[in-house]
Amino acid sequence: MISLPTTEQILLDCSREMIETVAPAVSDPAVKLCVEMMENVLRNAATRCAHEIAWMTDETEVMLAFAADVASTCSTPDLSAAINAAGEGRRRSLELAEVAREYSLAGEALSCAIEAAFDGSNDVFLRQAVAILESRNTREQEIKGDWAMIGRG
Amino acid sequence: MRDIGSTMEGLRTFLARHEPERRPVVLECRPLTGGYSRVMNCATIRWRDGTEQELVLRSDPPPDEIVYRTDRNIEWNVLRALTTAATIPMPPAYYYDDGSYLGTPTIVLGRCGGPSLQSATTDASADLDDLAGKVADTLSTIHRTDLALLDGALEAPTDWGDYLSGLIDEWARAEKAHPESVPVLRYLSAWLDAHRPAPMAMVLVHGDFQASNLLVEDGLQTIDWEFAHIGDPREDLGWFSLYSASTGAPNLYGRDPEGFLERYRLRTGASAEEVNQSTVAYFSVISATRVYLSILASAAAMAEGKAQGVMLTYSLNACALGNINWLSTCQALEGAL
Repeated sequence: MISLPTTEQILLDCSREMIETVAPAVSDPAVKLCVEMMENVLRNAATRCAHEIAWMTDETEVMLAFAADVASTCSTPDLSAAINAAGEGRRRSLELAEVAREYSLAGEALSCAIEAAFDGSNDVFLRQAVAILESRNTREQEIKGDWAMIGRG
Repeated sequence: MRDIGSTMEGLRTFLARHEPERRPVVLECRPLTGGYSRVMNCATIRWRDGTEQELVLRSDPPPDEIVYRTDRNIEWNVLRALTTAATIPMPPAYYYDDGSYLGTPTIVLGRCGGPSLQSATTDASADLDDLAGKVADTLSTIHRTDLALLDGALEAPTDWGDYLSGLIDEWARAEKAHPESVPVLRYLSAWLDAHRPAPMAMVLVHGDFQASNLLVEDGLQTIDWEFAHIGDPREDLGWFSLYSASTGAPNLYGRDPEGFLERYRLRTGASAEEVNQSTVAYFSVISATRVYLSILASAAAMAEGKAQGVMLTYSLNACALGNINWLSTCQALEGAL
């Protein structure tokens, strides 16, 4: 396959073309708004495609490790089931769909671990959970970029 | 999106049926931008007596492009009841077409020509203290609405605790129904349940009370009632505080939260235990349920090939923004509630 320019570079170039070439030629305000949104979405997609496999595989391991820690102290039936499902659902390749499926199963294990930590009022685990969620949110912000509500008002 | 020519012809036929004696002529119809959820057009009508009137058409987008799933029929019933009651400054609602004439459910309203409050606040000469006071007054007017005036247009919850539980559970329920896990929602649901504020009497809640849904004309006119419901008044306060901090425009709540809330308490009789910066922050999370979960449901529909449109993928960024804001809010409120 042709790997260069990267998908990120291609999408960013499309985004630039949208704003420099397409947007100035559009006069209909509704269509102009649509073009501006597309430019933004292309930038979101560029950042996402450059990192998503690495980010999801990293986070999967962190989430599963945390879920296992919580389970060793204050397990619940939901948490055990979620950890088992994540164990049985490990990815067989780095195909995006496989990685995303595994990531989602790990996310469910994290969710169940959070609920178990709340049930047990375990502040140590809850602080760890918040740190994991903050890390996830930071990456979402990186994808979001300098998004603002275009055309609102 | 329906073409303007079809909309004009549909509107002419629709108005002629409702106002046969006034012999309406549709002179012009143009799209309005500024809102995200509905398709908006502005039509100029000339009536038999020669007067001209601008009407706003508020319509559902095509089904596969709907991001915010609300019911026009319910919204129409609310608008009709509020127009009749005439207690809240707002553009009057005149007609409702279930889609027979205009191709999609459409509410026809009067036009308010004033700028949005969001635009007005960016004017260098704007008196922000005055505008903030008007916002607090407008919200207190909405919340003091006699629910009997709604004439059954909205379902009335009977118990505050059950109502709040329903809102909290909605986060976790929606997350479980979503095609991918979103752990932050499960955290929020558990956190909100563990930190409940003092209860309050249920009132008419606008549901999307923010500066772009307030028009500056004869005070403030409130528009876009699609998320209206009967609930906790702090939902509107919370949403206003959250939204005001997110737009980049001058923050009419954040510049003096205590002054804003004091004025609101004076107008409504709410206590400081019920309405304070911490309870408003708590409800800034709760109040986002409807908008956030609408986007999430549309994202799920897109993942299943049942929805499309750049508005949807663009709006996903609002979810990312919400995720980080709400988690921060919960952390900041630890110990305060």
